[in-house]
Amino acid sequence: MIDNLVKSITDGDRRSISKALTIVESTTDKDKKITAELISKLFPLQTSDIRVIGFSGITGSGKSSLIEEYGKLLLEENKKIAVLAVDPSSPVHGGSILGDKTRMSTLSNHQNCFVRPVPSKFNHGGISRSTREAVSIFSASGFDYIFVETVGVGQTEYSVSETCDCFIVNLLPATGDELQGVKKGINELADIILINKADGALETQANITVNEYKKTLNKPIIATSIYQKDTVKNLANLVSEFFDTKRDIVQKKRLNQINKWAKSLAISHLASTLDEINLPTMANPYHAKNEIIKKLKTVI
Amino acid sequence: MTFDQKKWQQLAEKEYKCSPEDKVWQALPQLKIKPVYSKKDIDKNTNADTTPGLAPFIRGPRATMYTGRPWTIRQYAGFSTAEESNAFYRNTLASGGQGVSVAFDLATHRGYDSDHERVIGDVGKAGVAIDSVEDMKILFDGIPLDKISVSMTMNGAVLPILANYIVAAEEQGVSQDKLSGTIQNDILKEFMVRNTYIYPPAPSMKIIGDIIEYTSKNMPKYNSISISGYHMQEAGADPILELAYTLADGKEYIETAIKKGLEIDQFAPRLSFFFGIGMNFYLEIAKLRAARRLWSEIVSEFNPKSEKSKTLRTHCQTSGWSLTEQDPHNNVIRTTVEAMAAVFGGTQSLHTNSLDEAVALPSEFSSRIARNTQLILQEESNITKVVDPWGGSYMMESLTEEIYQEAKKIIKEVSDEGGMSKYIETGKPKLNIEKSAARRQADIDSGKEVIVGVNKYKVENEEDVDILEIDNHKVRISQINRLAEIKSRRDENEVSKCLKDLEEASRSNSGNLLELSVKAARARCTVGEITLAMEKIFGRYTATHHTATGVYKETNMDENFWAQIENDIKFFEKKNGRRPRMLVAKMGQDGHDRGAKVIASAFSDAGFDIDIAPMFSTPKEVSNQAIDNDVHIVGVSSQAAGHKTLIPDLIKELQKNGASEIHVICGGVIPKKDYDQLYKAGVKCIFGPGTPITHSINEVLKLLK
Repeated sequence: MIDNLVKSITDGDRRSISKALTIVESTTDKDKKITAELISKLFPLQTSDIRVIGFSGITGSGKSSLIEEYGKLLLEENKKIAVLAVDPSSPVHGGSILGDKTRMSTLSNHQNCFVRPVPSKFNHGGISRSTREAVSIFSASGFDYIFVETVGVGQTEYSVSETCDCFIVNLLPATGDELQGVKKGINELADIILINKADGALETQANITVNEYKKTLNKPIIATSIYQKDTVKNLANLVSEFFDTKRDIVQKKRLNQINKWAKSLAISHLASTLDEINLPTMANPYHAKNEIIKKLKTVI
Repeated sequence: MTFDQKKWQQLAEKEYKCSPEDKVWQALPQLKIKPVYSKKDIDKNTNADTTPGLAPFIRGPRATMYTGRPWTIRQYAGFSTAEESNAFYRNTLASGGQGVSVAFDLATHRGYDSDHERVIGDVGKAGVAIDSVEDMKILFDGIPLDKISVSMTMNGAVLPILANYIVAAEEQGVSQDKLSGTIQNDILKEFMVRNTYIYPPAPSMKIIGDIIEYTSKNMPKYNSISISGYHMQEAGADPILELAYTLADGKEYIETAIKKGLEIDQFAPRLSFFFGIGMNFYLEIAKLRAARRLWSEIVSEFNPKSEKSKTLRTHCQTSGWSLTEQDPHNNVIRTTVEAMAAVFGGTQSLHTNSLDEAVALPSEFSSRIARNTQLILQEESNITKVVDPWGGSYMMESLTEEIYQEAKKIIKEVSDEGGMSKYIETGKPKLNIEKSAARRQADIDSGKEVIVGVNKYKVENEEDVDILEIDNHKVRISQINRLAEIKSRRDENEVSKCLKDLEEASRSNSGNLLELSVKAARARCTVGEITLAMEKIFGRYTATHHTATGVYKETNMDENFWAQIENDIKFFEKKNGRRPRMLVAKMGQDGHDRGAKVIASAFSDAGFDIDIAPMFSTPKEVSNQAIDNDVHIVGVSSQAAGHKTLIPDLIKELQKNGASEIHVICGGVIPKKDYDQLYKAGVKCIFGPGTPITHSINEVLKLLK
C-alpha cells in the first residue's frame, strides 16, 4: 500500500499528495507509523534542484498576497509551485480559520500549483509539527518551488529557518522608535528581508525603513508591494541570485537540517517512550532521573 | 400635570414586580432604551423642535413631505431576459408603480457576457441579463425614458451599463439631459459587504469620479450615485454601523469629486442614499432622522452655497434578511411594519419586498401584494396627512440624538484613518459588520431574539407557496444567440478602435471613461468587451478575507451544547488524528457572503478547521480546493439560485477526481421543492434559511460519525 502511495505521489497525483499530507499531519499511532515508512521511502527521491523558501512575518504583513504575485511570475516560467501555509489555531476552542486560499486565488486554482493550508495546532507557536514531512512529499512529487508560509512569532522563526533553503522575513514599514529595534534573531536567520506594503502613503516610510535597516543589517533588504509589479520582480531576482551564488551555503544548510530533524525525531520518540514509563514516587528528583535513564536503556 | 419620575417609578415597580432599571432595553451594544421618556429627556436637546425642509433636516428634506406628494413606490425587479423584465415593468407602471428599478443578473454585475465560461450558472439569475445595447433597448421598449425615472442597481459594471442606458435612450429619441433616475454606483460598500466589484479600489474610485463628472455636465436630472447602507444591514450591520459607514462612504465620494475639480454644489444635490429598514421599528425611524442631520453637517464642511446640497434624499427597502422561509405569509406583516418605519422616517421612495423573497424571485401574486402594501399605506391609512408625525416625541427625539452621536463617533474614527478607502484596507469595517452578524445569529439561535415561525410559534405542517422558477439554461442560450447576431452585424474596425481607446485611457489615466464607454456602446461593443478593455490595465480584484472568531460562542452561551460539541470533536480527533475539516465555499458570481462568513465563524468556534474558498470559484475549482486541502466536507452557501446547476456539478467533479468520500452539504436560499433533486445528486444535508447554526453543527457531526 505504501509503495502504491509513493508511486502516485511521484507521479504527481493530487489526491495522493493531499492524502499523504493528511497522514503526516495526523496524530494517530497508525498514521505515525505510516509516516515513518512513507518519508523514509520518499526522502531518497528528492531532487537537489528544488527550492524551499520560508516566508515569515506577522499577521497582516501581506505574506500570502506577495506569494501569490511571486508565484504568478514563476507560473509564467512554467514552474510547479507548492505552498504550505501554516495558520494559527485558536487557543480557546482549537478550531481555526484557514483563509489563505482567498489571498492566493490564482495559485489555488492553477493546475501547476498546490496550496495546502495547515492548522498550527500550537506547535512552536505557529509552525506545524509536520512541516518537514510535508516538504519531503512536495519535493518527491516534482515541485520546483516550495513556499512555507508562517506567522512569525519568536521561536517560530528558528523552526521555519530549519526547514528551508532560503528564509525570507517579511516586515512592515516602521516608524520612529520601531526603527531602532531590529530583532537580533532576524539578522542571524534571514537570507532576505522585505519591507512589504510599500505603496500609497506607506511607500516613503518603507524606503526610509529599508535604508535604516541597511545601516545595521548585512543582508539583502528591499521594499516590496503587490501593487508594484517591478518590486515583486526584484524579489524574484534576489531569490534566484541567492540560489545561484550560495549553492554551498544551501548544501550546508540542508545537511544541518537533516541532523536537526533526526534529533527532533529522536527526542519525540524518547518523549513518548518516557510517557509510558511508570515510576514509583520518589523524594529525590536526581535519584528519580537515574531510575528513568536505567529504565529507558532497557526499553530502547 | 407634568411627568413625575419618582411616582412613575413607584407605580412601575409594583406593576413590573421588579425594578424599572431591569426593563431598560439594551437595543444595541452601545444603545439603551428606557421604558418611559419625558420632557426632561429633551430639555437640553436643541434639535428636538426643528422645521421640516430646513437644516438640519431632521424632520424631512422638504417642508410639506407626504402632505404635498407621497413617496415614490419603486419596486426593484428583473427577470432573466429583457423581454420578460420589460413586460413586468409595463405591468407595474400600469397598476400603480411610479418608477422602474432594474435588477441585473450576476454575470452582468461582474462584467461578463452571457457566453463567458465563468458564468454558466449565473446567467439570468437574480435579475436580467444585459450583454449589449440591443438588450437594453428591449428592456425599455415602450417605456418613455424622458418621463419614467429609472433606478439601476449596478456597481461593478457601471460604465458599460450606464453607457448602454444612455445609448438606448438616444436611439429611442430621448437625449441624455432628459434622463432621470439613479445608478447605484456605490463601489465602497461592495468592498465591505456585497463583493460585486470588478476592479481594485483605486481605479474603481477613478471610475466614480468620471461618472460624477460626466453626469454633472450632461445629465442634470440624473442621480449619479446612490450611497447604500442597505447591503450593510443585510450583511449584518446594526442600524448605527449601517448609518455611520454609509455616510462615511458619502464623504469619501464628495472628496473624490472635489479632487476631480468639481464644485460641491455641482454634484451634491445629485447624490442620493439608500437605506435598509429592518424590524427594529423605533431605531429605524430615528436612523433616517439622524442621517439627515449628519449629512447636512458633513456637506456643510465643504462650504456649499446652496441649501439643496445639504439635504439627504433617500430610497429605502424593507429588509430581505428579515424575511423567513418558514410560515412565509408572516413576511407580509413584517414588510408592512418595516414599510411604516421607512415612511415615518421620511423616505423619498420605497421598495417593499415580496413574501417569497427569502427563497426566490417574486411571483406575480407576491409582487402585487408587495406593491399593494404601499398603496394601502398611501391611500387608506391617512398616514400621509401629517409631516413627520413622530416629531417632538420625547422618545423619538432622544433616540435620534443618541444615534446621531454614536454614528458621529464612528464617522470620526473613519476620518482619523484617512477616509473610507483607507479604512476599508484595514479590514475593520468588514470585520465589524461580520461580528455584528455573528452576534445577531447567536441571539436568534439561543432564542433571545424572537422570530415568529422560526424560533417560536413554529408551524407543524407548512403549506407550500408557489414560486417563480427560472430556466437558466434557456436564458443563456438565447443570450448567446443574440450576442452572436450582434457581433455579426457590427463594424469590427469601429469596435476595436473604441476598445483600444478605453484601454489607452485607462493606461494613461486620461479622458473620461464614461464618455468613451458611451461611444463603445454605440458601436455595439458588449458589456464584457468594455469591461475587459479596462481590466487589461486595472486587473480584476479579489478581496482578501478576515474572519471573526469567538463572537458566536461568546454570544450564544448554551454551556451544555458547547460541552457536548467539545466532546464530539475530541472523540473525532482521537479517532481520525485531526479535527473535522470543512471547506466553506460560494460558487458562481454571487457575492453575498454573510451566510458563509457566519457559518465559518461559528463552526470554527465549535472546533472545526475551516477553509475558505476564494469568492467566485467555479465548481471545478472548488472541487480542486477540497481535494488539495483534503477536507471532510464542502459546505456550499448559495443565495442566488445557482444551486441547481452548480452543486451537482461540484459533486460530479469530486467523483471524477477520486474524492467521492468528501461530503457536500449546502445552505442558504434554496426552495424546499429543490431539496429532492439535490439529495438525489448526492447532497448530504440542506440547511434552509432560519436553521439555527447549533442544529447544523450537530447534523454535520452526526454525518461524520
